[in-house]
Amino acid sequence: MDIFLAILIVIGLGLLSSGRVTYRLRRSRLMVVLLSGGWLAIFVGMLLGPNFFPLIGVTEAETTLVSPRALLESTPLLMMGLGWIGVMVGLQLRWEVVRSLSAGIWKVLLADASLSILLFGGIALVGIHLWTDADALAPIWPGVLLLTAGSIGWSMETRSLRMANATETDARLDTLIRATGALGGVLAVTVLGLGYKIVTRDADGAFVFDLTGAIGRAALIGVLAVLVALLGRFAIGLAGKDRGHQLVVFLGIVVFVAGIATQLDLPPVFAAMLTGVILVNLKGNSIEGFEKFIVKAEFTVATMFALLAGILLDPRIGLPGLALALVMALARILVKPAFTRWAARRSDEQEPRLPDDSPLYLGAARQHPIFLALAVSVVLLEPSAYNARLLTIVILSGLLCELLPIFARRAGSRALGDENSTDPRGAPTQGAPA
Amino acid sequence: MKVRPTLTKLGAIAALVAVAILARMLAGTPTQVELSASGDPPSQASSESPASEPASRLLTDALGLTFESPSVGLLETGTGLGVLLLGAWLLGKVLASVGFSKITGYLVFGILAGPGVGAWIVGKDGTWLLTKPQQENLQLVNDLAIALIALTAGGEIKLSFVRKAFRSISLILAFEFTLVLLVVGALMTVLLNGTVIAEYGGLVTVMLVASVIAVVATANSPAVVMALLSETRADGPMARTALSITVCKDLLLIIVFAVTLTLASTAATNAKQTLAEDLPTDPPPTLAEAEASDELTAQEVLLAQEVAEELESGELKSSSSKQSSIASKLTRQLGGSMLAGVLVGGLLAFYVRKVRSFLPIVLVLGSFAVALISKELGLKTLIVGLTAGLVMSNLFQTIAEDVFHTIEELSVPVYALFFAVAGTKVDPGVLGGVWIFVVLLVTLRLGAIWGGTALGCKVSGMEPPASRWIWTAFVPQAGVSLALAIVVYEQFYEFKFADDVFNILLSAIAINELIGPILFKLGLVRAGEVRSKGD
Repeated sequence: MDIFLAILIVIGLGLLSSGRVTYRLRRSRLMVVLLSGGWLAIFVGMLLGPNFFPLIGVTEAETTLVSPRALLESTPLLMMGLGWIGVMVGLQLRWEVVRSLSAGIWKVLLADASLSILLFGGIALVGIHLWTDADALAPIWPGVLLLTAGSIGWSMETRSLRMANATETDARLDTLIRATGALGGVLAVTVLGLGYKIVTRDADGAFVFDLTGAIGRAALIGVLAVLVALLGRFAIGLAGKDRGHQLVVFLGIVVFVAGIATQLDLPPVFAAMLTGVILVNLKGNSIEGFEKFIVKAEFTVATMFALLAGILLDPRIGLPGLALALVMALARILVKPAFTRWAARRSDEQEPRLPDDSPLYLGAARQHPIFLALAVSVVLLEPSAYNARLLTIVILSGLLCELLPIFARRAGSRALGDENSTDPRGAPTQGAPA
Repeated sequence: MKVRPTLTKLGAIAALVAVAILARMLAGTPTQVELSASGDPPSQASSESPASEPASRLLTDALGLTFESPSVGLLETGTGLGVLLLGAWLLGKVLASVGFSKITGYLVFGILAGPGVGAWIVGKDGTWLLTKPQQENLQLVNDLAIALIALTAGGEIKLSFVRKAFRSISLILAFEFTLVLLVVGALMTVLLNGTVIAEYGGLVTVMLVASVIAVVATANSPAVVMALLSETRADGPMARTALSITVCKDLLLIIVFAVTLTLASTAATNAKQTLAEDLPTDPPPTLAEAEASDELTAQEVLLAQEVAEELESGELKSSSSKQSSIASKLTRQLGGSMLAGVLVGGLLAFYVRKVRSFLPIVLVLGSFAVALISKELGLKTLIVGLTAGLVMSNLFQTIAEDVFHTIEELSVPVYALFFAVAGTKVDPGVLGGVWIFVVLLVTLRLGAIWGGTALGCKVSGMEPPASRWIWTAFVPQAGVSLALAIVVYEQFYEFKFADDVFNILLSAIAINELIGPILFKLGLVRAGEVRSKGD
């Protein structure tokens, strides 16, 4: 009962939040942030899970609608969702599209990745060390890696930051922010996928570094992704335009590759992403129908994962955990927009020059939605309190990164007496957290 | 048949299987398998297949807190699900290209991927596609599929047609059902004569137990009928009558099964009491004593111990109280299922009229809900789904079109998974010792179905060619039959004959599961009711 109920509630609320009612709600700016970022869904997930009511003094037994344990029993179905997200991310890397991107975008991406690894990797290492009091790197490695990888890139949603009187340079900057954000997500998945198994557990369950094993597993996942992609391509051809058959192939590929990755103890998003990349770049029959099919369910899948994150998180992070979330968020808000402005203006050699004071730079402060999916996948692979609390840190810093720039911008606008500096049509009515 | 595309598809299946097995071999490292959570004794499933043991273990995280890692069986289920979905679909296509139904392909792939064949091919310790724990984890998907299939089957039944064809439906059903019951019942009576139940219960008890087993043989599969009608797009008197009979038979089956099971279990309880009284020792013998004795089997000792305990505690119910409780349970189950079905049908119609969006996801959700509610309230998922479909298609016709069109799109993965999962439950290993009885059961059942249906058609005046081929619809067996066989086993497991009877039933169901779709497709083609895609 519990497992059915868990799935029902998660999917049901996922649907509800992507339905017509919330579509209307997404006209308000605050609701855009809360709904498109998946924050409301995360909150609902918290209410359903075991951790919210105990926090306010109500006992767990009376209030837990969906227990994480029951939810984890449906791991194969959840892996299907993660595989879906991974394939969706991978399908973005069509070679023709990648080739057409300007050198500036690649430079900004490289700069951002370097900054994220150095700055946020450092913060994560120190912060987690202080939080856990661990005496070695190995036990905290997955957490450090997760916070580092997830810091790369930013949200691709820029509509809520666009100016009403956008110029050609604004449009160019908009493209740069969105493209770099998208590629940042790919990098984040790759870094976590490659680095996750550098630390593994030995027969006694103790953490050990295993670089050779990690390289071997990564290579193996690569080979498996190629094989599954080839198989997928063949199956897509066989399915033709029949939607029922397309559904079989799509579900089959997604759950198969995610399942294999999970079996090999690797993040399923990474393997699915690789499959998506190979699939989209194999020559042969068109996979446009397949791509449309995947993207159609984007918002629902993303909302479901936000709910899932809310159920799985463990808010007992204590003061050190809270401080880590705050420092991560502040570092992001203070450093990323400024650094991105510097990197973008230096990398872009076109005339006229990119604007110096566009609100679009604030977009760099917002976490990439894939960060949440990665954190959830780490909890699913190892449902420990440590990982569930890391998920809380990811969510908390993400929410702060989302809200603080908006408040800062509002304050800035008020100071300038310019209440209507953004698009008068308001916030986006659509947008997905992943 | 085009050889090259077929070979390519077979090559793709081989690649899929190879990748899955390779992944399992690579994942089955000692760190994941050797350690068990708390040193508990292995379960029966895991002891049968140690390599696929769902080994979860207690680990410590970076905060020094312990947690239980997810079991390997659970983590592997995703791969199993993917393999079943893609492999069954591909093999369905291959077999369809040589004239078989796709369902046969789904079933065959399930059988080949299942742990039964796995143990046969690579041994109990070898690495194969699907393990028992994975198979159990797939139950969730199976329940969903049953609800969706039942919804479709219910939607195909038009009350106007049932009213018009009531005479032929009821007569064919009565003759076919009765003849199968009599023939298989007779076979089982012969088989059970000479066992401990005959010795202590007498011929009446044997006949009652035999009739319960015979009821299982009368069952056929609405899912197969529905899937084949959907695949071949068949329509005509044979297709419609066959579906109506199959659905009506399901309702009849539940009543007859419950009544015969009540009577048989009461008689068997009496036999248990006689056995307990006849046992030479007081208190009842221990297992060790039984092992030393030539006269008593371990099962008989366990039975005697249980009866002694029940007698002591006064828990052994009188037959009349047991019968009345089962009768009320039956009424609740059937009535409740139908009521729930009406409610679900009404709610679905309301949703389509007022909201309409995300219909495929809502239908999947709705089917989950049907499975969930049925399980929780002790209702029959199949009947809830059937009634909901029936209500939708007969009371809300215009709205229903959208719903059933959407279900049709979902049907390919649903059927592929459902039949593949059903196939995984087939274990050819059990056939070995009982194959003669299996062949006898399958042949006699086939003959009885043919004879009973022919009689029914003749009396009701059904016209050929439908009357000549409609019997083929009643051959397939699948989920319902398997479930009933399990109930029979659970009811009589203490008796030594239960193992053999269960193996005979399982093997016969597996054979009917395989030959049924082939025969039914042939019947539909011969009756001229199969429509090509252009029609």
